[in-house]
Amino acid sequence: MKNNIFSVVGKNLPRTDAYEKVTGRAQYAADISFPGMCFAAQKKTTVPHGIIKNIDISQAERVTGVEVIITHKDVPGNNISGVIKYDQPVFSFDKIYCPADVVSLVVGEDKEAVQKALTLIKIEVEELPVLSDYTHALDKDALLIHPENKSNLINHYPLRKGNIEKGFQESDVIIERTYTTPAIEHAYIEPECITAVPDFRKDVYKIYGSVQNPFTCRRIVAQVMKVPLANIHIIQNELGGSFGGKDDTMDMLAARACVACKKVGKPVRIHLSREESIIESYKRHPYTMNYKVGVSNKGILKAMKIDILADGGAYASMSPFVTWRSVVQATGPYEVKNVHTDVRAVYTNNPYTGAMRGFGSPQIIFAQESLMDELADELHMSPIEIRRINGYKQDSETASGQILSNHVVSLNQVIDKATKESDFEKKYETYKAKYSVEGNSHSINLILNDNQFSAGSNIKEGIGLACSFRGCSLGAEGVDATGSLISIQKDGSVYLISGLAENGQGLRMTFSMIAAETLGISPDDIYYLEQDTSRVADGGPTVASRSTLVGGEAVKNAAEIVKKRIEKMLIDEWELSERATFKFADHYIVHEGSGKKIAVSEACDKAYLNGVNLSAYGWFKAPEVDWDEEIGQGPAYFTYVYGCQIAEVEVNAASGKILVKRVTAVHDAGQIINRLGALGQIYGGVSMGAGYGIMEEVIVKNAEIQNINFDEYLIPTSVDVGEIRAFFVENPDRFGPFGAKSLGEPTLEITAAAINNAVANALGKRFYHLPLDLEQIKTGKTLYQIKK
Amino acid sequence: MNSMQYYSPNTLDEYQKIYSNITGKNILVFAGGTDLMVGRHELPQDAVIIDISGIAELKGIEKKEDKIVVGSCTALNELLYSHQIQNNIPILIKAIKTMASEQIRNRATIGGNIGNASPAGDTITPLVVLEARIEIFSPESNEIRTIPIEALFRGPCASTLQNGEIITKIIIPLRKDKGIFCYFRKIGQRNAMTITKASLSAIAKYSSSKIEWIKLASGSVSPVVKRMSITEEFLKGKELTTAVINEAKEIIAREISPITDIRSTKAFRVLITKNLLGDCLYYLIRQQNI
Ligand SMILES: Cc1cc2nc3c(=O)[nH]c(=O)nc-3n(C[C@H](O)[C@H](O)[C@H](O)COP(=O)(O)OP(=O)(O)OC[C@H]3O[C@@H](n4cnc5c(N)ncnc54)[C@H](O)[C@@H]3O)c2cc1C
Repeated sequence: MKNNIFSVVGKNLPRTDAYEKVTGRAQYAADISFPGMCFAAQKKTTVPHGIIKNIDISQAERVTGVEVIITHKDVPGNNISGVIKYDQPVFSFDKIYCPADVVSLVVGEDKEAVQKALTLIKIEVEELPVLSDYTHALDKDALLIHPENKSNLINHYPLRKGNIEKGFQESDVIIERTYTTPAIEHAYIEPECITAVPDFRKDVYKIYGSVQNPFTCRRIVAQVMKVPLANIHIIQNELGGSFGGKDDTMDMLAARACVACKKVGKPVRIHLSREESIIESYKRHPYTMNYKVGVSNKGILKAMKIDILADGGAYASMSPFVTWRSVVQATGPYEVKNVHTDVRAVYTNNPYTGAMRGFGSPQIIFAQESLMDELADELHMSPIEIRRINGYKQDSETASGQILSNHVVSLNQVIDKATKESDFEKKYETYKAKYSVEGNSHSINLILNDNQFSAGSNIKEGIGLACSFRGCSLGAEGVDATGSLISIQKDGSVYLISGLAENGQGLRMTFSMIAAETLGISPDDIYYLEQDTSRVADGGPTVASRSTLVGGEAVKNAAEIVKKRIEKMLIDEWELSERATFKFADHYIVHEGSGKKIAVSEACDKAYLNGVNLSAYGWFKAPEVDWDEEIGQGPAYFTYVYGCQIAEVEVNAASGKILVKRVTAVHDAGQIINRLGALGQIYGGVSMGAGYGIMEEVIVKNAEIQNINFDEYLIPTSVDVGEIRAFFVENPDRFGPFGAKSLGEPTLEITAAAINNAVANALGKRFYHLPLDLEQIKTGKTLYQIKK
Repeated sequence: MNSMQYYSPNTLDEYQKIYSNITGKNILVFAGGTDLMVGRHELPQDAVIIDISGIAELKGIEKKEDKIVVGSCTALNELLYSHQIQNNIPILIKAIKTMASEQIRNRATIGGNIGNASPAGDTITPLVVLEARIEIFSPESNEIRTIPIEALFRGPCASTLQNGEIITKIIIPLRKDKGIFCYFRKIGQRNAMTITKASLSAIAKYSSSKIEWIKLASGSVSPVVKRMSITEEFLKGKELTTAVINEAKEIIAREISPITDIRSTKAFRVLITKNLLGDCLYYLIRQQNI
């Protein structure tokens, strides 16, 4: 086995934080308290859109126990903020853009007094009409959310390749379909909590909280406070889940808490209830996707015309980056000569949308993979055959003109493995023979008229496949570099920290394993430091499944720098030639020529006594990528991963209920570092993907969220998703540490599409909208569509 | 400050005393709290909470000749694991099995499920078809009265209980006739922790290929749970042919009055209620043929 070349990498190791987390010892943001700490409650209005005429805090101020009431007037710096565009008020003052907006903060040590004062703040708002249906946001007479922009358009990405008209002329079969997906809540178990703590030094603040991206948070807070970046220390607590969701929301909360902290001169905490969390936090973008595809009789894709509209909600947030990934990957992992894509994100009064695990891919994969199966049906081909004909191979060219040559293009490998492991072909044909798709897939299918829940004949089995390619890390979205700091003590124990942050995904363990492998020690020898922006260089955000790849390489780099210094010392000590090679493994350093050996701890002690620097900064800057915004062409990402998932479902034709019986997930994530962590990613990702597929939807009515707690916003329980079988294909990458790439988001993005294809296989009827809830299966309309 | 008051009486007597000492306040009867805690943010700040879960008289399951008497503060799991209930009232077992989760069922009480008066309350439809009676204690008059369960419901999550009245017992009559068919099925989005989108409870007596009598109650499809008496009447004395079943489905569809809300849609609820009745009746036929 090739794993033998490593002593730590590739093993199944429990995480460093596992014990504390399962025994309840881990300290989350709300578990920590500070002397004299005040609580801050946020005042929102009940109006989703309107002009603020007056904010009256006079009565609230008089409540005993209230220290201060904060409004926009107290903001020392920028009151308008945002992660990409500056369009979101920290404290609303002239206008309410959406129900998440906060007008003021009531601050005091007595929680009850604070709550009481909250009800006494009077905000006069002149209501404006509400724009909630994003499909009309670009209409000529549409209400403008940010009138200064003259349009509700947040961004538009075109992609033009080949000649679309010619492509359709060359096609024998053309189909056109519209797909929609709803807004989704991240549903992290820990609601947001932040505490801003003053320092004895003027204008210095320490901020503790469940922050996903400490450096982004620091930038926003520093701008709002009008202080240098170095004055703001963001200290990250254990994160009870994030999934991309503790970025902007946390930045805003941190800024508000910090403004209040300055005014009262005491620690100020904001801790959201679940209801506040759901109302205030951003969501995954709802998409409406129109796909027109032309294909030859032989099954060769000739043309794809794609028009995508994303609901950005009231603020731009991450919309420009989320929708950029969509434009790059919209055709799926298929070679198409003629492509014409437009992706637009628009403003509405709805809850704003931003980063969520998947980041613009789950939507398009749902569309493109459903479409591939439908094309296969039209052409009387198997779902595998059509993918085999068009799927990316080594040196294929993507829609943006990138040649996939610098990594192993393993689409066929993952499809082969997944289809073999699940016995796909046989099952697919067996189920299909029972209820083959009717001539017009839009017609009402008779089997859904069945009315017996319990009889065996009522359970329809189906199997469905979906696959994806995914650009790793940020791509041409932004600066892609990160650092890591290692410091070895004289007994061989190690401090380690990276510019990327633990988000609950197991990064600390993965990084510890990378450093341990390099230095020939065990991950147990490594003490992973608390994440603090003052300890390590800004390494960008922990997003885009980039940590293991980009952050891991920086960790490896740091460990190697120290390793080189130890080697140099040993060369001098043992009077070896400059070209001597050493093996660092199992706590020993062995000179490969002479067999001379020394314990790592002893070598470190020697190094210390010799004044050798055992601390180092590692760095990794991603290879160049490029994007031409006018035509959507360029090498978007420096490497890609491939995945295939096969879902097996049982649909109860009488109730419309889908049971996800089994999911076979095959992912090429490059070399796996921590196998246990990687399996966890697949189990979690598939479950989240299944929730997206069959039940999750944020129901928005007149811009207001209707399901604001988990009694009404439903996520799958442990008995709603059946067996998950995970397999890895490990083609080492040339850039990542020990050949590792990305896994976190690929595991989630494919599942819903696979389930949709399985349901079509089971029922002979296709669906075009997520989620596939009981209502849609039985009546053709999801709950979400009805409410609108 | 305006903190809530909390009392936990150990006897009905104590309950009565506590009650009579409180004037003009919002009294909240708290049993397992599994419904109340979900809505805790909306509770009035001046509420006086009286936790009745410590009142021993309100607990337990007792068989008395022709009836089973259940204390209102009996936890759902106690019912689930009770041999008396398992042997005599299987429909209630079927319903409780589908409810919430192990942890919630350990706290949630049957009285709370009824007192909450939700049309989605899963013990309610079985109790309605069983023609259970509810014993009520009034702390004002210090008296006990008994009413048919159906008379307890006024609207969605609104009961006819007044002035501190609490449910003390649930009295479930036992039938003398043997071979009673029973049916409970609920439809929800998940396989656990799922609130009913639509459900159906039925008990029936079938002999010589005919329905002697049938009692039906649908959940989550009307403002209050009530018997589907028009459908029952239609089925009485009939042989279950396909035509009869199809007609019965149309009748029940007219008898319910579902709405579209956060949990489901009107169209779905109508369709599913029809399907549930069909499922029930075909199941009945299959059972007879065994
Ligand atoms: C996660 C979860 C899942 C759930 N799943 C289900 C489910 O599947 N099916 C279902 O039907 N319900 C479900 N519920 C709701 C709830 O658990 C049940 O309704 C339960 O039986 C309520 O009992 P309780 O003792 O907890 O009631 P409480 O919350 O204590 O009280 C509920 C209401 O009844 C009143 N009340 C309580 N006892 C009495 C009494 N003796 N006399 C008069 N009024 C009284 C209270 O004043 C209150 O208005 C679920 C709840 C949760 C949190």
